[in-house]
Amino acid sequence: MKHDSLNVLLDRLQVELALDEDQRNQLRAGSQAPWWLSALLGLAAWFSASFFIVAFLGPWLLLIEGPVGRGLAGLLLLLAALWLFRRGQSFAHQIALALSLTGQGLLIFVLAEHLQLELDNLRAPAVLSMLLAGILLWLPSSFLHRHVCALVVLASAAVLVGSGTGLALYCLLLAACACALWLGRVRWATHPQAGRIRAIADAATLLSLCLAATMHHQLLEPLLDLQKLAAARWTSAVYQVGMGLLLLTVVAWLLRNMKRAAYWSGLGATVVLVILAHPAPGLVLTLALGLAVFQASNRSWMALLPAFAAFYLFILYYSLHISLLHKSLVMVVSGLVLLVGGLLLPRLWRVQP
Amino acid sequence: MTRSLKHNEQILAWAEEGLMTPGQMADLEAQQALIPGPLQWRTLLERVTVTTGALLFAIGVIFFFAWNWAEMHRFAKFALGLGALTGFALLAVFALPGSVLYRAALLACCLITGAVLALIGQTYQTGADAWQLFAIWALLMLPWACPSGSAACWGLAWAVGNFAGVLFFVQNHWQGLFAGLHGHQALMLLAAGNGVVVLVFELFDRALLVKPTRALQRLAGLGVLTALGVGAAGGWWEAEYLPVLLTFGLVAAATLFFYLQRRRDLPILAMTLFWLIVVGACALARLTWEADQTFLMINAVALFVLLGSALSAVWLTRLSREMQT
Repeated sequence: MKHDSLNVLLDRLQVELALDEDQRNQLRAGSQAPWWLSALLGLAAWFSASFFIVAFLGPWLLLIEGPVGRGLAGLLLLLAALWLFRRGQSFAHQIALALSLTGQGLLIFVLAEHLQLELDNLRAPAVLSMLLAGILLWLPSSFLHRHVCALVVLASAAVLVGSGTGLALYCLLLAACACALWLGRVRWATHPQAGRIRAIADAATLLSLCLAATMHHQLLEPLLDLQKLAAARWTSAVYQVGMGLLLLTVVAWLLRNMKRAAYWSGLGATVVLVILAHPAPGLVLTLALGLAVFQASNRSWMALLPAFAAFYLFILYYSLHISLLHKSLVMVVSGLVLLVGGLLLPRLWRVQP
Repeated sequence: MTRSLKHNEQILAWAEEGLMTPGQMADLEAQQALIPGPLQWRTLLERVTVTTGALLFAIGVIFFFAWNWAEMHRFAKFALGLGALTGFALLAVFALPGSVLYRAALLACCLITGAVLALIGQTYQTGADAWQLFAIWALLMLPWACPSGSAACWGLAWAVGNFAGVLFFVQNHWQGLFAGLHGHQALMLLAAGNGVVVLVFELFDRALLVKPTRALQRLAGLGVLTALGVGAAGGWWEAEYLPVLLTFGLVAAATLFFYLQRRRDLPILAMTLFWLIVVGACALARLTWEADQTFLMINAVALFVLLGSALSAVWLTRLSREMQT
């Protein structure tokens, strides 16, 4: 947050809560690093870790031969990372993040090598990765490390779920979890585990969006595979209906205290939108998450969600589940409905400033 | 007085870090809820519905022309495309200048201009290269972007222009066809184009944008650094790219000075530092590659990236704190 805005807020809190000078300084120092800096640092740590893993698997073997030696090296790296996390400095945290990722990667590689696993059988490494990241998530570490661990846990679970209807249900579960956590942010913000809950909320949001984009083909186009026609229809239906229901639930929850007429007209408009946009469930998901993160006052996600929607439209263009003409009609009609709704909104909903 | 979204977000982030007690949060909540108020909700819904509506409609038009309906006469297609363009232009004329509707309508005009251009290419088979189509589209967006004062319109023009630049670079890198330009010259042109955008928005952002933000300067800064950074990284491996490496060094030094001393901008400083790390890592990789030391190369590069990013994190965090005091 900018200096002027932060000072305004601190002055206001001083009046409202009678803050002492110590707490004022703590709050000023406690502002988190911006999300883009965290993303850049995470990327750099991941890059370093992948190089270190390659280095460990190569010439380091002369020093630490065999799976036991490499496993031990991985464990030592994790312990070193945990030790560094106890030193509350950005420099130590960045090194610790890279060491932790290297350690986790090494341990998983050792397991995969020991079991002689193929690339298409990643269940055992996924279980280990989920366990390791889950344990590390609950140990004291940095904001960025907690987020990476939460992401690894949820992504490993996706690997375990596999594909088909299970994956569609998992995507829905993730999206519902993200929406529920954001909608209830005020309630858990002061919980002792709030840092971890926040990491899970961010990871669930990111992964549900990533799965909607990367698994779009698997979730909506398996109809092309004639041998699995019945199962594929289920996958597609579960995903599309599920996302529609999720948006309706979010809207219903947000409107719960409104007057009856406003409640039902809001829900009615959402039903129309869900029906129109059902061939593009990624857009429905973005809208549901957008409403939830706005309720949570999360401006970073508010900025990232439109970027995801633009990327999703790019994927949708090449998707084969419906024709371009069909997609075009869906967009034009949905666009018109939204445009008319937007033009009528100030007349229908008058708010005193 | 209603709390802004920014303030709510900061308070909740402090609470999550354990810097606010449950009692203090309860007191704040009792005075005013830590969620957006009705006015904030209405503003959001108005923006989302109008902007998304205009965008979806315009993208729908693009998808429709991409479908290339053979049975539809070309004049009918032109009537449809130009009709949509005229419709949104009229919507902008009757909307309040600077309003959400006004900016959304002009953004739709920007998109539909591209659809009409593609339709011309599709109908008359002009034989233009893909980069030429995108470059013309970016240019034709300027008359819509100028009056709009919308960062989204300018951002779209920037993105399309850069996409044209990348396609131009790829073509020139492999074939050197257009005006005898080679890959490194194409990269310099791309960087120069982005540099002009940075300069224009640093000088005239208040005139070009209804609500001045630093988004365009940062995007174009990313364009300059990426074009030069890619060339500079290649400069360690191919002599042809050495001029780009030298230019990158100069531009990085100038950027660090200007955005640290004159107009402090953390995202641009961070991008510069991270591109310096990338180019430095490439230099290390080249040096150790020549010495045929794969083990040394992998570890040295990893260590360099790690230490570089950690030191950058410390410095950027310190700058961020300085800016808040």
